[in-house]
Amino acid sequence: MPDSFVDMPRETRRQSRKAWVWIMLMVNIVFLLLLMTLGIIALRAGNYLPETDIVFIVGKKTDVAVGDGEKPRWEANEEITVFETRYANGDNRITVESSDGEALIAPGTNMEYQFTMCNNSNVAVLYEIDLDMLVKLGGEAQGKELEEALPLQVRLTTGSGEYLIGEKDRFVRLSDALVVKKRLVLGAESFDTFTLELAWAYEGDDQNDTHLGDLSAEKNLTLSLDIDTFAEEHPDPEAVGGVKIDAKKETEIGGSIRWVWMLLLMINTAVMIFYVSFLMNKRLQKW
Amino acid sequence: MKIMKNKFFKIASLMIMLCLISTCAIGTTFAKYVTGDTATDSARVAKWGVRLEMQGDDLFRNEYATDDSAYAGSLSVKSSSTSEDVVAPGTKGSTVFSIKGTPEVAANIKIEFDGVKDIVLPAGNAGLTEDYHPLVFTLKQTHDYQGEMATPTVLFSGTLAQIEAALANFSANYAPNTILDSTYELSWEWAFENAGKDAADTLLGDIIAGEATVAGAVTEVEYDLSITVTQID
Repeated sequence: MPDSFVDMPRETRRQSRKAWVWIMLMVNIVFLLLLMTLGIIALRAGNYLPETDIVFIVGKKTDVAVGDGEKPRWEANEEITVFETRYANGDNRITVESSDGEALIAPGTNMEYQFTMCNNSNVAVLYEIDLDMLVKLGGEAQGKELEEALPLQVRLTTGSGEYLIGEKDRFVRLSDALVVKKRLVLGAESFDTFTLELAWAYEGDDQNDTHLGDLSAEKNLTLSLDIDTFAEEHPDPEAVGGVKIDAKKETEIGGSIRWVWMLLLMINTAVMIFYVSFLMNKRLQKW
Repeated sequence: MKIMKNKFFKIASLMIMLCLISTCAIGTTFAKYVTGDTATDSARVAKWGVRLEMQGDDLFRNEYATDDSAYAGSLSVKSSSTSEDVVAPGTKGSTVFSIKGTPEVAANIKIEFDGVKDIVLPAGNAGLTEDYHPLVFTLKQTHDYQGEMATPTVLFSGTLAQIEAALANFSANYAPNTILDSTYELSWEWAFENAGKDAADTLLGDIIAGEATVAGAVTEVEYDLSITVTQID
């Protein structure tokens, strides 16, 4: 038996080296693919987990929080307080009051709700705020007819005075506001405050209002209102919008882990390319 | 061979550069952060459910039963036309209306009584020293939310004009969730025995029969009763 690689016959050494090269090549390819797969998983997972930093490739910090005075960050399907159980008029007399603690709406009632969107990301986002309503009678969802019969009007304003829904002197019927989709910019590390106003005019279609009140007395006519916020990265990360948050600069997200990963990826790619070149070169020499 | 080696190393170097460049491109292309939140609230339309009920439209009728047991017939007064209601001494009538409901809003109840016409024989006829209105109207409350009242409350009593004047400013406000359950009775009566008024009653009968004419005499009665329950702003 040969004591070392050098003591082996020449032919045996060549074959052993060839096998070793192929093994290294295969290991290299597998390792390369593994690294790339992990990176892509991190990217894809990062898109669906806003709290997760997408660190491996893009190095961006992404966090958009929506909340109000009571809750700084909404959870999924957060229950908020837009409607009240009692309303007073200008003389401070209670004119609408729930008989069972359930929030109410009625002719002459006005509601206002404020919430804030904070873009803690280091990139600008494009955001959209949509409204959705569901009308139920006796616990059963109703169609468009009853939605359109409900004379609630709405207006949505940003802190800077821009109207997402409605205008300065004009509210929009809630059933019509559901299709209003305006997209605005919220800059990196910026916030904006929104005011949602709802109103049921006292002077309106008395017959319709009375009919709705009678329906509710008979079977409970309820309205569910959803405020859906949606934000995605702006094509221009430096885009400006909202009010800057006075926050300290944070260190780069991901840091050394991210760079190590990048380096490993490049080294493995280079080594693989050289291996391929080396093998092809050897093959050509034989020819 | 050396030329071929060089070529391959150049190709290898080029591929490394392409790999580096594509890594950056892939990074920016794939990375697009998206998030969404939803908040919800719900409310019920405040209950109204106020009901106004009127028991028939028979305050006046075209025939009246007798109160005289000595009289063999069943009717003491009967209109010559079934389509025309009549009144006469000794006749009376009433109608009942109710307001029910428990609205979750403050409400105002208004009763408007418009006495369009009232039977009247002007003073100076049949020994009258003042205008004679034979019909006396009474508005009383017979039920409240606790049920039938032991003693109905007389709200107003008098001629049509007096009722109209009394109800002109009748308006009551109720807080949200007040149980509105009131029943009222509007009645009238032409007294059979009315001291010193027999001649006047007779003259009115003759006027409607076409046997007499008196300037300013009115032989018809007509009224409009309007009950409105309105949410208070």
